[in-house]
Amino acid sequence: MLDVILFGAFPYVAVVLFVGVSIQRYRREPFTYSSLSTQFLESRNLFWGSVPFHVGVLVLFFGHLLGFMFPRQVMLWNAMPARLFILEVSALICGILTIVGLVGLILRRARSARLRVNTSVNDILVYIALLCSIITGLWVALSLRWGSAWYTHTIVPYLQSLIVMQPDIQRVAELPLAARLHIISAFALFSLFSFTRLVHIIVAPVPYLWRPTQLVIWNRDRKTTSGA
Amino acid sequence: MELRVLIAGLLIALPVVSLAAEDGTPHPSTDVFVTKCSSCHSVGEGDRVGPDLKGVTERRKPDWLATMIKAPSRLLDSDPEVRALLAKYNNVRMPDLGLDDEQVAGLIDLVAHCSEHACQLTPELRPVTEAVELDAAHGRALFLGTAMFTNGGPSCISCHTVSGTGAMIGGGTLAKDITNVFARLGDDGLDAALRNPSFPLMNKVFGDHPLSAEEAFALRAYLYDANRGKHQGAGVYQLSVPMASLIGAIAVLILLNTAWSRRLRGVRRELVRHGGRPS
Repeated sequence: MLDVILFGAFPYVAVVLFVGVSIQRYRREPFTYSSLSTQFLESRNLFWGSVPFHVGVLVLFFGHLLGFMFPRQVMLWNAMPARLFILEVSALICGILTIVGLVGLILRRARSARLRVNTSVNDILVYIALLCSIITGLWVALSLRWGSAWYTHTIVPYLQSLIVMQPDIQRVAELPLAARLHIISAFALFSLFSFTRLVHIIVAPVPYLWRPTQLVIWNRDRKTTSGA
Repeated sequence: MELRVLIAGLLIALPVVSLAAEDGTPHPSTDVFVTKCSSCHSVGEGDRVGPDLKGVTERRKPDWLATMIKAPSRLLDSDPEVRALLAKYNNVRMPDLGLDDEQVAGLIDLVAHCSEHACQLTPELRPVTEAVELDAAHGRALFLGTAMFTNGGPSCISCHTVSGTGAMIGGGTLAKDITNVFARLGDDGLDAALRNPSFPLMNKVFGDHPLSAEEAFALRAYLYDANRGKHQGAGVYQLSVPMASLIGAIAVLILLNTAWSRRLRGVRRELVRHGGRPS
């Protein structure tokens, strides 16, 4: 029964919250679509947290997504043990980068009085959900070897069954605890998404990556002011 | 109510079905037994993953048997005798097989019939002793995934390990180490486990992608060799995923620091330093 709730019903609740509340929040409170970044001012302090975390989590997210979209191609790639090894090591490298970055960010927040004041309950929930996702992901990678190979025949068909509204929960209910917790924590992240700072993902200024260079021209005498 | 109907149906069906099987033709439920039960059970040929069922219809009541066949999950946690059996047979839980009442009644009759008469309840099998070196080599390729299964099933290495695969990496750890599976299941049992697996997850995964008889034969040949320790010592040196990943992660961090930490810093530093001051 618990499996039916967690793997048959919870995913739909998560998706409804993800889509519904995201749209509603964007319409009602468009200016809250932010993660209140201080990156501009604290680039150096944030570097060991924010950069590894975002690099790791983006590669992992798109890796999971590509595996879901092209399971056959992943299987063909994994047909040689050396390639399987390269894929798994690459994924685990990103997992390590993500946990290093997240722990760095949490420590930074815990140490700074200014940040503690600006930390909401939702921020803490996001940290807990992210930590659960990453720790269970690392647990899967280390204890249930060749996840990229069995993912395509267990979790991918399960996700496909969710899309066609006929949840085949047995595919995941029989998986070991680490994998089940990883799946549940992923849906928990989806549920929290629209209530928290995670919404910044869908308004990320991606065009910044290819926008033209901006020139900063100082409208003052720099020698005088810098010596003041 | 359902149980009463089942038992009534069973009593009516028993003489009819048994009579039908008397003339040497296979019992009508033979196909169901072969596809759903034979990977774990035999009738009179000894234990496999689960117990030999010979004589079980005399030892157990029909309604208990019917429940055990139709919905073992109802008894596996509650019935102390079943729990003892579970412990005896390596805690491999019998899955709910999705059988209807008619199939369950037929299976009970088949077990009763085959406890008295010899029955052919496993598919005709090419024994592994006929295998040559090439078969085992093909089996190894199927195990590693370098040869694909014709029906698109995942390679064995995804979930299982065999010591001494000869590859630079170890096998999967999602499911059991199958180095000595041949000793546990035997030739018949292994063939059934490969072609009609009763392990719940494997059954799901290979349900849509069954192995052919030839592929199962090649894998049996490889696992037969593995069980005899033929590959021991091969591929002893294995690359470690955690170690390689740790080194890789440190390298990426250094790379990021070199490539990114100076990004736009010149402009930013100026802006931050003069932020808030009248220029």
